[in-house]
Amino acid sequence: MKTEKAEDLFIRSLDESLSTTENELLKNSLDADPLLKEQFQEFIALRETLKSKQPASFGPYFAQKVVNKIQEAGKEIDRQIIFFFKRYQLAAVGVVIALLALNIMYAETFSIPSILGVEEATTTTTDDIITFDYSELLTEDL
Amino acid sequence: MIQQSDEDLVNVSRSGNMGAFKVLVERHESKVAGVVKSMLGDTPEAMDVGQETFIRFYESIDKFKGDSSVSTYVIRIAINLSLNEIKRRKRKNLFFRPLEDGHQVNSPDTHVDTKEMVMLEVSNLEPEFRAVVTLRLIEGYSTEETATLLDIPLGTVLSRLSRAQKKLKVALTKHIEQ
Repeated sequence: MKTEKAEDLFIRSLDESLSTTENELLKNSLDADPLLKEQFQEFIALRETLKSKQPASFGPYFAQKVVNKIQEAGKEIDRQIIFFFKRYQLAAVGVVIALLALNIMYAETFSIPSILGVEEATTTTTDDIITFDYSELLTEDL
Repeated sequence: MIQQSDEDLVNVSRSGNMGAFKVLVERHESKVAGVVKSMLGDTPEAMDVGQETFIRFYESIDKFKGDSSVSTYVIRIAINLSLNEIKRRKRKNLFFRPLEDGHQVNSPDTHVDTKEMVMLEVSNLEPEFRAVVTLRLIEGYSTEETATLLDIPLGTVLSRLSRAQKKLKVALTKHIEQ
């Protein structure tokens, strides 16, 4: 069996259990290649040496320290505010749509500015507005 | 009492519930500590990176869609932050302290056990090799999990592992000969 295949089998044997045939194949190829066998034994020895045996920790109250840091930065308040508004966002969109619909219903013209209430909806143009003539008043008095 | 799943705790944490988030931190502290301490040694920076890992997780909790497990997600953050810290150390030209303060592992006169000696040599590996060794050999993740966590192909994990093993062998042989 080729070395690459033997290596594949070896790597798999570390992650999962091999079938009887595969185990036999691996054993035979290791017996046939002393260098490969040595390499594999070293790998196992290295893994056994390094394998972490005790659960690691950052020390007591680590979780509380993390929570305190987040709270000091005010990040959880930002999240609470966002969450509060998120709950009502659908209702808010509904209200906006209803107000726009009301505007459309009562608008005299259907321009976008009048619907949005940007300018007053009116049919009167500035040219139609008659300015008051003060000179006429003055002549009448005289 | 029924234990809440990670997904439930994430959902509750999204609303700003710090109690739920604290449970998540407690649940995943050990794995994060294992990875970070193997990468950086038992140093004050390791503790900072650990805290920063969970703070980043909290900040990005809305982006967490549950495609991967919470554990995978936080370990990824921890690995990236650890690699950044290693780069920062290199820039500052600091010497790596692989073990607790007070251990004089560099001194040839001092007795060190095999594990400490190997750990010292692991800490001298380049960051990409160190990450693979940490996850695969120290923390015991499978080859596939290691590839997923580091976002590299399976073949790369195997080749890095093999090269790291050779580097360690050379370094340890030198150590023993001294």
